[in-house]
Amino acid sequence: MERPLSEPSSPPAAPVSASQARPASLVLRFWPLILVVLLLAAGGFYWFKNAFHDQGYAPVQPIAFSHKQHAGDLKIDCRFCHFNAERGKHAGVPPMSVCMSCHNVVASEKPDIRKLADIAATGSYTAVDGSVREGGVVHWNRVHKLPDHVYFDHSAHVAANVSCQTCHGPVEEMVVMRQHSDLTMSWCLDCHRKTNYVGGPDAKPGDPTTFSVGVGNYDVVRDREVADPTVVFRERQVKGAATHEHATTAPADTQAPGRLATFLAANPQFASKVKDLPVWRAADLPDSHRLMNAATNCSTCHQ
Amino acid sequence: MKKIWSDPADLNGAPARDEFAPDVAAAIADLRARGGIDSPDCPEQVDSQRNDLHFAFPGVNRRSFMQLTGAAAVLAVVSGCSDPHPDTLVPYAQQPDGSTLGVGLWYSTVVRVNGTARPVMAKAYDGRPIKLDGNPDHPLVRGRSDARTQAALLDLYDPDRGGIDPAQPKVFHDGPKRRDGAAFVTTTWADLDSSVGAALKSGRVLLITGPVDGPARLAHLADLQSAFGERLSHVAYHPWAADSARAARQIVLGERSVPRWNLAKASVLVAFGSDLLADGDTATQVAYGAFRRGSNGEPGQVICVEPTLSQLGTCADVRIRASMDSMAWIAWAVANEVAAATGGTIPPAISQALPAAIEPIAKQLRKVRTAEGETHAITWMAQRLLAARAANGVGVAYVGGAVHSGPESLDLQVATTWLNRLLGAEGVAVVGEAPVATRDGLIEALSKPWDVVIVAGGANPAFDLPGAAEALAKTKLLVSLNPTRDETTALAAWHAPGLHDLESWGDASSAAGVVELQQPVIHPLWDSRAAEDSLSAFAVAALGDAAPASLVTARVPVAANATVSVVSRKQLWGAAERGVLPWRLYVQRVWSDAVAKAAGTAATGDAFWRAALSRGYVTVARQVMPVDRMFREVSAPVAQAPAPLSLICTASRTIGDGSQLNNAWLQEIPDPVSKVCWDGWAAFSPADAASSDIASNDVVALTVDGTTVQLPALVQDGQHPGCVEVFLGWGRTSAGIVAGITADDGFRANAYLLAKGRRWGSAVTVAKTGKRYELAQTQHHHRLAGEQVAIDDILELHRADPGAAKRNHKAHAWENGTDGKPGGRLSIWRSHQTYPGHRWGMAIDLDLCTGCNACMVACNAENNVPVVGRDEVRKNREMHWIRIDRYFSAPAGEADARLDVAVLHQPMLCQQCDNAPCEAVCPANATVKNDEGINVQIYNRCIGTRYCSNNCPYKVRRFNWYQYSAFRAGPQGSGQPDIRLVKHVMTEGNHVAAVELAHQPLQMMLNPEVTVRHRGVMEKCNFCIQRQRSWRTDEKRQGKRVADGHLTSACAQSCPTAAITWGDLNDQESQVLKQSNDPRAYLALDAESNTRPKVAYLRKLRNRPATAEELVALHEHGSEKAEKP
Repeated sequence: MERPLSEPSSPPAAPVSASQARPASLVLRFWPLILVVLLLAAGGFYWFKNAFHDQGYAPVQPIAFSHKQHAGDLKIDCRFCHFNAERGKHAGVPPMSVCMSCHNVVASEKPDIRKLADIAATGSYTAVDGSVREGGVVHWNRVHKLPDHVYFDHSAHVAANVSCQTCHGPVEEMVVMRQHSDLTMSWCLDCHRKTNYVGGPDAKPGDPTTFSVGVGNYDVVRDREVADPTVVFRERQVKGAATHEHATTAPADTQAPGRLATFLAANPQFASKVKDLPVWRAADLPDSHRLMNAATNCSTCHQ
Repeated sequence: MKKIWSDPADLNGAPARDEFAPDVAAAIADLRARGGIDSPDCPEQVDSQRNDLHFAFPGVNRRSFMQLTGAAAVLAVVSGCSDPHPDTLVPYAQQPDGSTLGVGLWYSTVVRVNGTARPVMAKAYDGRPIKLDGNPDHPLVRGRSDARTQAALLDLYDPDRGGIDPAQPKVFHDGPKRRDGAAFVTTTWADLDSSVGAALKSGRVLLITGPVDGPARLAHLADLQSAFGERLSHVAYHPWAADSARAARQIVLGERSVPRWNLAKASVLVAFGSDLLADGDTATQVAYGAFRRGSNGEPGQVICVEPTLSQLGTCADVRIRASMDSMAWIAWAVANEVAAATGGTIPPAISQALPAAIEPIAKQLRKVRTAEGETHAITWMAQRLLAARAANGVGVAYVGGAVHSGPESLDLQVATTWLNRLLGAEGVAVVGEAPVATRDGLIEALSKPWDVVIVAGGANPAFDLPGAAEALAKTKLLVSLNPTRDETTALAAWHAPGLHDLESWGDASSAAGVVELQQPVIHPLWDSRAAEDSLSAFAVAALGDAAPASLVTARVPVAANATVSVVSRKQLWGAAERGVLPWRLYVQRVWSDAVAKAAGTAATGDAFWRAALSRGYVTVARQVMPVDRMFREVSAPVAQAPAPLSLICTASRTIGDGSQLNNAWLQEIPDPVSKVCWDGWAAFSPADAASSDIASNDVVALTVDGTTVQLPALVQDGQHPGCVEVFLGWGRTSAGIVAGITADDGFRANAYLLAKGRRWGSAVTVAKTGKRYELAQTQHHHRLAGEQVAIDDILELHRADPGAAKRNHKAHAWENGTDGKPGGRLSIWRSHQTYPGHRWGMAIDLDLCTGCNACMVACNAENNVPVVGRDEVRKNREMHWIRIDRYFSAPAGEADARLDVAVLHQPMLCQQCDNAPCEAVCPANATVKNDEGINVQIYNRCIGTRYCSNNCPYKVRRFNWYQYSAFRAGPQGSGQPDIRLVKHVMTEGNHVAAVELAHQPLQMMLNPEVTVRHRGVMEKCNFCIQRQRSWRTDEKRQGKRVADGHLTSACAQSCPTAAITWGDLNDQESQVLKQSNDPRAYLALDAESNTRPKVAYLRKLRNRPATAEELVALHEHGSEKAEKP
C-alpha cells in the first residue's frame, strides 16, 4: 500500500473518539442539522431552478386567447393591441375595450368570447382557483417578468426597430403564449454587445453621434436578424407547453365566413361602400371600432 | 483668519465629536476598561450593552437570534417553492385618454399650505399622485416649489386620516361621525345632513373657515350668506393672519389691504425682526431668488435687524442684532434719516419722541465696518436704502410673518409702512391685496354666543387661538368639516370629514390678479367629501325649498348611472340624490361663467374651463383695494419696562403653522438654522446661556404669565441676549400618530397658547429642571474634514479680482506635477474615464441657497427616501440623500464671535467623483461608475460592509439599518403595530388590488421608477438616475439629442431660488457647464482629496462693504500674483 512520501509513517492513532468510530451515530446525533441542510439544498434547488428556467413558461390563461390566430392568421399588428409598447416602458396588456371593440361583432358566439363579454358586463368572475376577480376585466396570468431592479423600456427598443419577435420569439405561431427567451442578463448583453451601445464594437469614444443615440446605430440589430448568422439566440425546447382545451378548435372557426361577409353577400348594395374606405375616417366607424389604428385595416378582422 | 464652525465645540479647539453614537462609545470605553473581551473581568454578556437587538426583539439574545435566523431562512426557502410567477396582470377596462402605462401624467392644481395657495403640478401614475412640483407656467412660481408644498403629498396619504384607533390598529374608522358621550361613532351622511340641517333651521350660526380667496369658494360662501341672511357669520381664520399689517396700512395709507412683497422689483431689503423666507409662500421664495440674482448683474442686498437668528438672517449680507421692542424705534430712526434726505416727513409725535427713545437703543447696535471706518448701523441702512433709490432701484423694508401678526407689532408695522412710502416702494415693491384671513376677527366673534359653529377648511382654532377651545366647548353645536381629527374636531358633536386638496375640486388665488383652479388628482381615499359639499347639503337640508337655486339640482336616483365607479357614485350621486348640486359642478359653473368673463380670454364657457384645467391658473384684473382715507394720528410706540428675558414666538421653519405636524418628512428635515429635527425647543443666546448656566439639551421650565411649560434648551449662535425663542406649531395633542410620538416626555408646549397669543415681548422666567433631553440635531453629523468645503467671498473683492480666490486656493502635493507631467496630478488611478455620451453634472450657487430644505423633501418624494425617526437621527442614521450643511463664521478678533455670525448653507450630496474613493474599497463591486459619469450604487450587489461610507470624504452615503421604508416614523415604534402600517412595500410588477392599497395608503405614494431599498444596503444620491434614463429613452425615441433643460434632478426642479443647476457637462450650450465655468466655481475638497467631483459650488458673495483689512489682504494677494512669472 503506498503512502504519500510527505506523510510520516505512523500507526493508526489509538484513541479514537466515539463519533469518529461510529459514523452512523453522527447521523443520529446531528440529524436535525442534516435535515436542515438537506432542506436548504432541496429548497435552494427548487428556488434557483425556477429563477433560471422560466424560459418556456406557458401558463393556462383564464381566456383561451391565441396569438397564432390574431397575430399569425389574421395578421393583426402587435401594436394594435399592445399600443403602449411604442409609447412607454411597459408593453401592457390591452384594455378590455380593445378586445370588445372587435368582439362585439366578431366571433361573438364562441364560448370564450361569450365568457369575455360576460366578464365585461357583470364586473367580476370566478377564477379557476375559486377566487373572485373584480373590476370587469380579465386577470391574465403573467408570462414575462423581469426582476424589479431591471430598467427595461419597450418604447426605446421599438423606436430602434427591434422587432417584437427578436425577444418574444415567433408569437404569431404560439397558440398559448410562452416565454421564448430566457431573459437573463447575459441574454441582454448578447445583443447589446453587438450594437453600438455601451461597449459595442463601433462606438467611438468621444463621438456622441455613434453612441447610444440615434436609430441608425441599430442597423446592426436589424441586419443581424436577417443576415448575421453569428448571432444565435439560445433556442431551447419548450418544456411541457400547456395544451389549451379551447385552442385546438379556435383557428378552424376563422375559416367560416364572418358576419360582414355574410352581410355583404345578402346586401350587395353595400359592397361598393366598404371598398370605398381606403383611408379610415373615424366618423364612419361604429363606436366599437374607434380604437383601431392605421396599421390595421378592415380585412384584418373582416376577412 | 476668520473662524468657521458648525458646532460650538469646534470653537474651543476640541476634537471632532466621536463618530460613534454615545452608547457604542460608552460600551467600547467600558470594554477597554475591563481589559478587553478576553480578560477575566469581562462579563460574558458584552453584547447586552448594545441593546439594539433587545429593542427590536425583546427577550432575544444573539445566539437565539442566529437560531431564529436559520429557521427563518429554511422557512423562506420552503415557501419559495411555489409558482414562479404569482402575478396576474390586470388591464384597464378602458384606458383613460392620454394615459400611457408606466408614464406619469401631470395635472395642474393647487394646494393650500400655511394658509396660502401653492400652484402645483401633480405627477400621477395610474391615478396615484406621487410627486408635486410647481406649475411651470405660473408667473409667480415658475415651476418651483418649497419644502412644505412638496410634503403636502404625504399629508394626502396620511393613514391617520382613516381614523386609526390604537385599540384596533388593523381597522380604519373613516366616514362621518356623531359624538356619543366621549367617543365618535360612525353614522351615515344622510343622518349627518338631516341632523345638522335641522339644527341650522334657526339660531345664530358661525362658520369658521381657513383663508378663502378663490372665486368659486367666495361665490359659494356668498350664496350661503344670502341663504341664511343675518343669522350666519363667516370668519376666515388663520393664526398668522396679517392683522397688524392691515391696521397699519389703514393708518398710514388709508387702504384696507394687506401687503405683498414684490421682491423682484427691489434691490435692497431691510427686514425688521421678520423671517421673509421661512414664513413666505413659494412665490415669495421664488421672488427672493430673482431679487438675490438681481437685475443687470447687481445682486440684491439683504440687511436684517433681528433679535433671533432667522432663516433670512442666515442669508443676510449685514445682520444687526437688536431686541424686538427696540425694532419700531429703529425703523422710525431709519425713516427719519430717509425723510431728511428725500424731503419727506415723519409724524410729529414720532419726531418729538425719537431722539430720546433712539439714544439708548443706538448705543447697543453694532457698527458697520467699511473701508473708511465704522458707520452707525441706522445711518448705514438709510444710506443703503437711499443709494438704491439713487440707482433707480427700490429699497424696501419688510415686516411680517407669524411673529408680527398681532397687535403688539402695530407700531413696527406703522413705522415700516411709513418708511416704504417714503422710499417709494409702496405700490412697486409692496402692493396691497385683499385680506383673506383674520385672527382678531375670530377672537371677537368667539366672544359672542352662537347656536351652531361650523369649522371647515383646516381652521383649527382650538389648537392655535388662546381661549378658543373654551369658547367652542361652550357652543350648543359644533360641527367640524376638517379633513383630519384635529383639536377642534375633537370638541365637535359632528364630524363630516373633508377632503385633502389633492382629492377635491376648488380654487384659490395665490396673489392678486392670479386665480388657480384646483382639480382632484385622486379619488378620495377615505369615505369623506368636500367641505363645500357638506355646507351645500346642510343648507338644502335646513332651508328646503328656500335654499338658493345655485346650490340645488334636480334629484337623481342613485342607480341612474351604473357605470360610474363605486367611489364616485358615493361622492357625486350621493349629493345629487338629495338634490344638492355637487361642488364640482358648482366650481365648473363659476369658472366657465364668472371667471371666464373676468379673464377676458377668447375662449369662453366649456372651452375656457378645459383650458383653465389644463393650465391651472388664469390671470384676472386686479381688484382695486377699497380706500377710505380715514387716516389716524400715528402715536409713538409705548415704551415697556424691559424684562431681563422676553419671549419671542416665531413660526417653525420646518413644520409651518402646525397643520402639517403629522408629516414625517417635515418632522425629519432639520431646521435650517439650528439643524434640530423632530422636536420643538427653546433657543437661548450664548450670552444668556453662559450667564444662567444653561447648556443645549437641558430641559428648562419657561414661565409666562403664570403658565409653565417645559422645553429642551438649545444655545443658538447668533441670538441676541435677553430673549428666548420658541416655535409655533409644535405641541398638538391630536394630530396623529407621527405627531404623537414627537410629543412624548411632556414636551407638549404649544407656543400659540403662551402669553395669551402675544407673539413677542412677554416677560419669561427660566428655571432649569435638572433633566436632560437629547435633541435630534444633525449639525455635527457627517462632518467634512478639510479646508476647502464651504467658501464665501465679499462681492466687492470678488469684483476687483474675480480670479483671486481660485489662484489662492491651497495647492496640494499632487497638483504640482508629481506624476511627472506638468500640471498633472498624482493619482492612484490609471487614467480618468472619459464619458463620450452624456456627462451629468451639477452646479450649486451658495449665494442663492437659503437652506430651505425644499431639495431634501423633493428628494424624499422622488427617490422613496425613507424616514428614520428621532431615535435613529440621534444615532447619525438619517437617510437623506441630500443634506444642507450649515456653517457659522466670524472675522478673527470679533468680540462677540458667537453673536454676530455670518452663515453659509451648503447643500451636500454625492459628488459623483471621477476618482471616487468609495469605488476603490467596495469588495462587492457594488458601487461603480456608469458610462455617463454617475457613481451608481447597485443595491443587489451590496453586502453592507460600509467601507464606501467610511472612505467617502463628503459623508453622503447612507446605510439602511432597519428597512426604514417599513416604518412611518422610524423603528422606535416597532413594538406598536399601528405605527408599522406599511409592512408590504409595493414595487413595480407587484400589483396589489386597489382595495388593499386604500388600506395601506402610504405605499401608493412610492415612485414606481425607483427601487425601495432593503435593509442592510448602502444607498446614496445618483442624480435621479431614473430621470437620466427617461432622458436617454426620449433621445432614442426621437433619434436625436434633446436640448438642455429637457429634464432636471428633483432637487434642482424644486429649488425655489434656482440655486441648483443640473444637466449635461458635455453639452457646450448647457446651463450647468456655464455655471461650472463661472469664476466663482470651485470643487469641494478636490484639492485635498483629488476626487474630481462633478458638482461645482459657486462661492457665496457677501454683499457687504469690505473692511480695510480685507482690502489690504486682497492687495497683498494681488502683488503676489504680480511677482509670479
